[in-house]
Amino acid sequence: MKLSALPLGILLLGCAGLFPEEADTAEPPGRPDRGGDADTDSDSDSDSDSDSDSDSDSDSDSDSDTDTDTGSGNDDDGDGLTNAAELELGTDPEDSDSDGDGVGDGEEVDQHSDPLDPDDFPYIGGWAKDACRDTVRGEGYSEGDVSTGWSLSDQFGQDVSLHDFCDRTIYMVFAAFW
Amino acid sequence: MIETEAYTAPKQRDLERWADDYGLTIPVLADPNGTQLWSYAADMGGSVGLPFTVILDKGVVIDSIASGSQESALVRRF
Repeated sequence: MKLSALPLGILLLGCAGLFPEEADTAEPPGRPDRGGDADTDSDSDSDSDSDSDSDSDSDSDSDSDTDTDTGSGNDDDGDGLTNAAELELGTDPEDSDSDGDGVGDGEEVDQHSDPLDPDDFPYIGGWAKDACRDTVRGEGYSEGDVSTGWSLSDQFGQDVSLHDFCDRTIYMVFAAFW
Repeated sequence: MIETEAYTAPKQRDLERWADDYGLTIPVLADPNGTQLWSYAADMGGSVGLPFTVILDKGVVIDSIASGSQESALVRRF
């Protein structure tokens, strides 16, 4: 369902896939990444460089982690979709929200919205209130009328007003939970 | 939603449950006692079938109203 682009509340941040890369690049300012020169050794923490054997092992571990992160079976951006799946979908494996609509790619796939369309995202409350709602004047409830405005409570406990949906085609179904 | 399976007015938890059960990612609203439903159905001579469908255009003008099984024909038009 097409919804307006809103700064919605859900923002899925990358977790496991991001931290190893950040660890690699999280050198203090002015320090070469892994140059291995004498200056770097003297500036660095004792854990990282002064103990040559164990640290070199841990460095190689971090290198292998970085290599694994770019593998197709992993989820570099932590959005719940593997890199391979993202390549197939056309989404960015390094951006948890490829279309920038505030909902992560994995969440959009789960909720059957388009992770590449910023105007298509699941409803999570907080509906857009277009400025046109102030100009809509309800006339009645019959075909051809501008619908009378009303406000009802949604599944998030928020009041949703019909006229807030102006400038969109609205498909409304009344049903019962029988 | 106008009524629960217990024939009571829906509460928020009923709406949540319905949305979860059917995987709905659209606004699910409570219309206790069908107040809005009966307003849209006023021209139908007191006979209403569910689902009851209303389609409105971008100016919030009521384009079509369909009761019960007429819904599928209405949807096909769009």
